[in-house]
Amino acid sequence: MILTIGVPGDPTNDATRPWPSSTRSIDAGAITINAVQTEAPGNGRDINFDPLVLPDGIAPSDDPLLSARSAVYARSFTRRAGEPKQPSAIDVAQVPDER
Amino acid sequence: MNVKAPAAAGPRFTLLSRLLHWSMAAMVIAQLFIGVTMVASLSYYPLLLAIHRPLGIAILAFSVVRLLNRIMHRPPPFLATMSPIEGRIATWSEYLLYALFLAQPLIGWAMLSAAQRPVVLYGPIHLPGIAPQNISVFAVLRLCHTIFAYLLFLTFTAHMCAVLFHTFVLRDRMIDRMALWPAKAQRPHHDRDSTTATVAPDRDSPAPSASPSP
Repeated sequence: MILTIGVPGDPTNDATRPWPSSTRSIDAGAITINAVQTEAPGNGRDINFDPLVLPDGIAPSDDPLLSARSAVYARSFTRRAGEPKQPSAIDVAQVPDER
Repeated sequence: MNVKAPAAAGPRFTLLSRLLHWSMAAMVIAQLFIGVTMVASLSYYPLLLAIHRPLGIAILAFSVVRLLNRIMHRPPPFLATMSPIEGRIATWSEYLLYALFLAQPLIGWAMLSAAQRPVVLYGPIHLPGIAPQNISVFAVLRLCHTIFAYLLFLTFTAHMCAVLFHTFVLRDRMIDRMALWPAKAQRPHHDRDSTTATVAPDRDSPAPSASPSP
């Protein structure tokens, strides 16, 4: 996971404009996925990953994509919520490990 | 049209009732427009949502005050231009509006609680959840929120049309009962203001320079 540190003047409201190559970045570690789960209540199925619902200390930038994602995710969450709930067609516990 | 005009400055709602009525009217109309714009907008969604939530709670608070005010004060009697059936329909549609004003914010609040979204009023001021966290409950409440919004819009429109019909077609000054402005002095129907009548030419007479006769 690489954290890119912005400086004043970097464009934050247009995701199509790259930041200068001299921008400082920090190697913050690696994310390792060591388990998978079938979607179920409580493990992410019923959660809306709204980028504008933020904890104290983190504020949204002026990136317009955040608003758009918030609006679209709200709509998709609503549609997903209205679907009949049934166990997943795939149960990862029964899928053979092919490593 | 020889309808006997009602006495000048007929009975009105109390000043508190009238202030509550018009402030609620402004809030509810704004809320309906914010609601429909919000769900159709990408860039303004977060901003409108941030207005929608506290405005809904304000409407809920005003509705409780209004309902108490309505129960404790008898409204002035209906005008003679209303039949008993019309009066009953008006009363029941009023109560339907009150019920929707109370239910709609509560459904919105419960809906966010069921989705476990923070019910942010302003900044760090949050409301507690009032429904169990359950995505299926959210789905039902979200659908109810839309249906009740349409029902509210229809009931509001019917209420407005009835008052406008009475005021401008039957000309029974119905809106004066709820008006914040002072009621105009009663004048007989078809009375022309004498000063304007002498200045303005009769509309029906042809203009002097219009289409020369053949």
